[in-house]
Amino acid sequence: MKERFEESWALWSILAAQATLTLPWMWRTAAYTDEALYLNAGHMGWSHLLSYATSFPGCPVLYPPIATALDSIGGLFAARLLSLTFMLVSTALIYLIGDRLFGRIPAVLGALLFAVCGIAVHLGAAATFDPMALVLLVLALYAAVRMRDGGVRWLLICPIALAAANLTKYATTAWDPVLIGTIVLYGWSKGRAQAICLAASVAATVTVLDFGILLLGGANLALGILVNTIYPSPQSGPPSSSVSVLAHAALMIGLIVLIAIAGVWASIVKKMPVTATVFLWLLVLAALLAPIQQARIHELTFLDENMSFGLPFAALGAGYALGAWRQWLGRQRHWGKIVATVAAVVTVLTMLIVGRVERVQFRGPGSVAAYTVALAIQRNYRRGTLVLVDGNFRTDQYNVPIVPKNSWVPADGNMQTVASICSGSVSILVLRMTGQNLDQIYGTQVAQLIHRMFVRKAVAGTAASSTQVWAINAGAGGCRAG
Amino acid sequence: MPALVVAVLAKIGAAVAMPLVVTILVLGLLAMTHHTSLPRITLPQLPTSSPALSDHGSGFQNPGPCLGTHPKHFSGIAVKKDPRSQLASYNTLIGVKPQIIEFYNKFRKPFGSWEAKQAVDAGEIPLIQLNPKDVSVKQIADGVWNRHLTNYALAVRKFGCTILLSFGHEMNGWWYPWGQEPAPKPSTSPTDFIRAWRHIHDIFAAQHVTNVIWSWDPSHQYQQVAPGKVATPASEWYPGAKYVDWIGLDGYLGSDTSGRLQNFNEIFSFQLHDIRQFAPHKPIYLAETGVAPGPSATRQIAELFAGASAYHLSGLVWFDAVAKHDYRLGIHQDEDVAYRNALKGFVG
Repeated sequence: MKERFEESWALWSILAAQATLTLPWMWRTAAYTDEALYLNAGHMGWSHLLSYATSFPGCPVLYPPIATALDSIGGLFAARLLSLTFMLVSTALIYLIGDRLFGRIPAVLGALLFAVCGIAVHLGAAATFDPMALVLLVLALYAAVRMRDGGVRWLLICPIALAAANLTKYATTAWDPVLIGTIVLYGWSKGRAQAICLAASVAATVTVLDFGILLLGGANLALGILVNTIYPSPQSGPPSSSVSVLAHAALMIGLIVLIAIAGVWASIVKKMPVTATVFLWLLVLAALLAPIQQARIHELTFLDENMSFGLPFAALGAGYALGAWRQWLGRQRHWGKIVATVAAVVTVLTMLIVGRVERVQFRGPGSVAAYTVALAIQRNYRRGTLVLVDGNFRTDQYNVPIVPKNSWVPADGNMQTVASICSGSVSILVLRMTGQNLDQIYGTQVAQLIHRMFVRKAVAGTAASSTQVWAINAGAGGCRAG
Repeated sequence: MPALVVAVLAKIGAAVAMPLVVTILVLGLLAMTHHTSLPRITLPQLPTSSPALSDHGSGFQNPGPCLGTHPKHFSGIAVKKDPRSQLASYNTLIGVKPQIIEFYNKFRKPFGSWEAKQAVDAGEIPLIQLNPKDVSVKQIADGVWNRHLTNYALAVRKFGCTILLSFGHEMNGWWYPWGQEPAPKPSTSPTDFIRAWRHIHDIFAAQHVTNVIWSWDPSHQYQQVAPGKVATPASEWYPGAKYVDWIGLDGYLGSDTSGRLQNFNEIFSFQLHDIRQFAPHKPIYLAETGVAPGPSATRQIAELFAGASAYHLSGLVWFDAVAKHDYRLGIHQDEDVAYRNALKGFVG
């Protein structure tokens, strides 16, 4: 493998490009709500983590402790660096898989398309379960491909990596049949009996491992798996229409899937064996699994994360399509290869631009705004008092660890806001503004009370969507003053 | 050629052997760790018009033997004396039959089957608050009370009808000996409480008791309100989804020390948010609630039921007894009317 890496300057260039694209997001964005949730939960200890079995998308005692350990050492950057490492390894594995399946050029193109896709770029800068689950899934796919010609060890690595991926993020279970299909279809030409036997072996082993884990984890884990796979997420908002789910998916991965579909057509034109064509269809299907499932349950939340598991398959299919087109055009015209190369570059650039323009669902808030808010809270917080936050406070809670976790209080309605303020126990107000003034959002009574008792310390964000931090004014007196 | 055939056969042999070996290893591990039965889970329902309602307000288990199905929202009363007579006067006064009747038993007492039977005969689900008032929670966790608990479990199994069982309610507050009482009084740590809860649960499971719905009932209090008066978020005391079926929150509306009226949000919202973070699919209800008597009680009763609806709670158990205040119904006519109207709107 070492020699292959040394020979492959293209792969190293792709990895360097991917790291260059991802690295700025490490400090450009602060922790988003899910990152904050996982890291906060991890810091609360092992027993607390177990209580999150149904609210985390994967086993709470696998990824969160690792991320939390890194967070303790190097902060959010270290936790995110682990994700980048996972994503880079995924890209390298996609290259190696593509090289074995279709040859070097399709492998390079496939790895490149994966590396520049917005979802992969941002996933490398997100301290979540997904990069770890993705690298395990791709490792299982690599083992599935190596199994045909390689030694018996791949037969062991494949189900273990797949079961680990399933446990790290339950949703990856949906791609298990794709891997089994890969073993059958790729191995078919070498001997049907062997292919079926290997696939059945992997399927049975993964089933036993997954089922064993389910029994070990008990009802809590079982329910966690159910609610994070076939049921809508507990964090999801109102249902989205199937059309809007599919439209979002088309925007994020539409181009790469279309090219992968062109690969199926190319295999038919080239009169490749039926198993090869079916395999290319399987790659397309794998890319569409997440959008189809989420359109079925009318849920847009977490679509980008879940689509990331289909992305390696789409990238492999698209790499094959572009490689095949380049080969065909090269045979037809003497300038064919140049045109095909330019087309591939344009495709990659389009992916790159779409990835930068389209906001992925898991991108955190701007770090400047988040840290302005955090700094204002930290400087003005008084020990033993409460921080009253309008809306979700997970990110603020993560950014300001000096405020005890009991001291963050959600502001649910004006009456509670007034009551909390009047009780004298609140020293900080964190208000989310949407282009309106305090009166319009909270009503005159609350706005007057805030103006009388608090001083605005920081405003972060844009005019249309900002966060304001207000600190208690020591000389303001109580609610009845003024 | 023969070498290739041997290699293929070896691979096929390994392929056949691997699942068998893994199965033996996994079964061995499961047997060693006593995880040999399928987990019993309550499936959440898919959302209909309101995801929030389905996420949090559904998923209730059917009460089981001896009882029919319960309505979407249920009500109940907590009593301190003879349940039958109190239930009769409640039915006459309110005109809406409750589904739960809650009463309090000391831990050392045997299972109160006669009280439970009274409830079941009246068509109610008995909710038993098992209070470890004169025993140490740590001792329970350490197995000192195993014989008593086994007898209790066997009596519950013999009783046959479904009961709601809660142990050490309001454990996260400072006012009960099984909670975190201020020094020099003995204090219970969350770890010991969780160990004890799981231990009790496991003893019931070992005796094959299947007619218990485990209701874990923390208090709404979650922070220090004065020196020595420390409460903590419910999450610290949660025994885990495997050990809990329903979650009941305790809290009352009244006035604060400055005489200001309290509303639903300020009493319940923190714990409800917290609970839905770590137990998003457990049914939540108010296991003990009431409104302090006073000129604004009727308004606060309406506020209490409106809050329970707004937070998609599954039910509400009114504390029909005297404690810090006289919360009983049947004392003030206007409060009874307010309660009746609000209850009818709540249970639908």
